[in-house]
Amino acid sequence: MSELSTPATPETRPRRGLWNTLGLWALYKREVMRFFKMYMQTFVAPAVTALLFLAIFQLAFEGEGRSMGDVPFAEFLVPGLTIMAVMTSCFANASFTLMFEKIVQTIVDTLMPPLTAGEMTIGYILSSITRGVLVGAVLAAAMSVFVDVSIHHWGYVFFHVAMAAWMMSCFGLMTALWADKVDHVASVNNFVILPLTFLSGTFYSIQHLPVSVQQIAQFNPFFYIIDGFRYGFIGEADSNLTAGIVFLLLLNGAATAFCRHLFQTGYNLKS
Amino acid sequence: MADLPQYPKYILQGNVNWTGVWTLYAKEVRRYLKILGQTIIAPVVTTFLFLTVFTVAFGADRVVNGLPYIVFLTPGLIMMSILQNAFANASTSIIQQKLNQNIVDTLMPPLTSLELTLAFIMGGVTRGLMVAIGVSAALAFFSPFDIHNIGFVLFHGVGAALLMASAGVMTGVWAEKFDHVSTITNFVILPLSFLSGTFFTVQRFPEILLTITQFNPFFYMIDGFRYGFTGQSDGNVMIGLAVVALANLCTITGCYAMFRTGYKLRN
Repeated sequence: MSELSTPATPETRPRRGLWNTLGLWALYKREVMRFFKMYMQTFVAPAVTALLFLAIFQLAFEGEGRSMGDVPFAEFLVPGLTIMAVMTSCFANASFTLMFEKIVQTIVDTLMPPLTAGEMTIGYILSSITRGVLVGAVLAAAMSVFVDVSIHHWGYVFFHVAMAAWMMSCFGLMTALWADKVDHVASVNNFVILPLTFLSGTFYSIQHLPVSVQQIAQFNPFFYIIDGFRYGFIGEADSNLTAGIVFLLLLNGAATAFCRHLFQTGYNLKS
Repeated sequence: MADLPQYPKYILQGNVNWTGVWTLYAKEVRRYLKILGQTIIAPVVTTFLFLTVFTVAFGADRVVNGLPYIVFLTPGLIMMSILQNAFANASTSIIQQKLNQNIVDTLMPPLTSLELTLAFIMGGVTRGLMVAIGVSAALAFFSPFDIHNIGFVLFHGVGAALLMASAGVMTGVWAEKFDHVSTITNFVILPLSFLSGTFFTVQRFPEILLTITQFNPFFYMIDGFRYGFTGQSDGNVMIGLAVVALANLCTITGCYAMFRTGYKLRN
């Protein structure tokens, strides 16, 4: 009886320092375990698809001495395919996990624990980044079996892969928060993300495009990501690299703040 | 004792329950039309992206088998969209019904195995051909194409849709979770539809792959379909007709056998 009359006060916010580190870690770990469970779809499938693209381009155009500038085409293509897979994986991860939780209504299990909006944002984004970076590593390893990959500047490689993963995770979160059904997420994926990743210089140098399109590319973050990442490999870029770095940092900062704002206000999450 | 209720007379017209077949077929078609954006428009956009990438990356001046590259590429892209969409429709529809456990609503009505096979396959065929028409319309805008022999175009277009729809039905029935369907799509269907001559002539293949290609129905479908447009082929088009017909016979019989035995559907 005495136990019932004085219920133990639950520890509402197990803090260590400023952050609920334990909660953040739990969310992160749950997300990472989720995508590791379906490693066939999350790692093996993108690697196979990238190898297929590589094979197609090689078979379709081999023996014609094709090159982009002074770089052999295969070496030009590997960074593009890698970063494309990183971006699509991050978007897919962030958008589908949250969308799925909303649909099966387990999202309350994420909203109820004592996690702040900032902690949720970080947990989701970091787990997606983890998937993106791992996918990139798997792909680069798989392709380096067939193509000689040399690194010109590690800094650019790491920076741009991180920026790409970060940006797409934010976009994925925003999409999933906005979406009411899987259809909406798939639409954004098919009609926005896929065209942008395909057409922003993955498969060709932007200089092949008409001048008017090239000018639009100046405002396209996908273009800066692909171009900067490729610079890290081959040492040649179409864009102003410094402008790209500043642009990406500002954009990612803004996107993260916006995600946190959405979680804070409970947009499409709390009613 | 009252008599047991009789089958309503109007359901059976001749030996086939056409009302039932039509109902199931209409349900299958309405299912994907409801998500038109994903099932029709998205594949059209993706195919169009492929066209853009390949022509921008490599210039329109390339020549393959004596044809401008874009003329060579267009039939391949149309065929690829048929292959992938006919497969996707039947497989996702059935696995979804199995996961939701409303597959009983399809198994309970008075439909024979043959009728089930027919309705599910035709649903996939319809989607494959609708996407193909959409893709053709979009691509014709950029690269007008001639038709050399309409017979080959129709035979391989419909043959490919039938083959992939029945393969999709078999995959859907066999699969126990969505993961299984994705695995087949990613590791079997996608590689075969990419590497069987969609984007390049298989004459580029090393000797050993060329030999294997002789037994690949995907190659004959793409090659025969392209022959219908351009009048040029890598393989023997007559053998192609036979291979596609034979492959269809196998998969359709396989579907029928699965429904007949209730494999992974009834227990």
